[in-house]
Amino acid sequence: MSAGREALRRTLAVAAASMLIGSVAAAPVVHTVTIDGFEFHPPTVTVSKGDVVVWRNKDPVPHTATAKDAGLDSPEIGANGSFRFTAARAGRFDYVCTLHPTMKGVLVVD
Amino acid sequence: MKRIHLAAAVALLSAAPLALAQSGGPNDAQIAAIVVTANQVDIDAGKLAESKSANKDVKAFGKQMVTDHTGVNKAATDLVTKLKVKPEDNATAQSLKKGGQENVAHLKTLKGAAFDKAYVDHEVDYHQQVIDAIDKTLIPSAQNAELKALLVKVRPAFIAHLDHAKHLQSTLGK
Repeated sequence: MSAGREALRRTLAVAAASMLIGSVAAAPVVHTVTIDGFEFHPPTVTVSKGDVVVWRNKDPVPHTATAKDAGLDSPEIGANGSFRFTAARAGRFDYVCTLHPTMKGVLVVD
Repeated sequence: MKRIHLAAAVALLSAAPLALAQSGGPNDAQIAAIVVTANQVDIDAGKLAESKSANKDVKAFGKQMVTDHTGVNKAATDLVTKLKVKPEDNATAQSLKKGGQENVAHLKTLKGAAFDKAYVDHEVDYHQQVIDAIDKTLIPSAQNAELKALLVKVRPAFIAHLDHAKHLQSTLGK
């Protein structure tokens, strides 16, 4: 292996390592909301801007998590499915399952 | 005529659980058959509403019933398969099936707003009947803990559907 190629390999390795460290350092906090028995648990989830909220559906039927003003607009989350959302807008948002509007939750983004 | 038909259907639905309750309640295999039949009956009516109604809210409700009751039935079928319980036909399941067939046959004779009203009225009564059966007969009678837990878990689906159907009922004809 030539000296030039070795230098390139080292540079790439360092770059890859720093990207890895960078991505670990920037990993967002993940909050989980469980959908079970046609309820959101916990009913209110408080997160920081940039955090990730994952809705996990434990019911045998599809649900959504929807608050258009929060930019939250999940597709139908099937049985045992999940939906990942990054909280980009600050505020207090009431959200619902559009399929079952009796299901209500609150997302607070500080 | 319609009132008499509905009264007959309600009588059929309510008489059978009573008969079972008096004889000690259904066993788990019978409960499995009741759950599967109750869901299937509402899937059939929902499919009809989805295809026949011209009202977008009624169509959407019908579609929702098909989706949700199919999901509940899959969960119930998966569980009884796992538990190696073979659903056992019984008077309650039979009366549910007969009531469902009569309802669909009746709905097929109707059109437009009359269809929507009859479908939604029946959905309100039907879900109320099923919730009563879940609370008074099925949950108290279920022996297997997982079967009981499933009934508890799916109960909110019927409550949500009842609320939705009642809301729809209040908007029809306005």
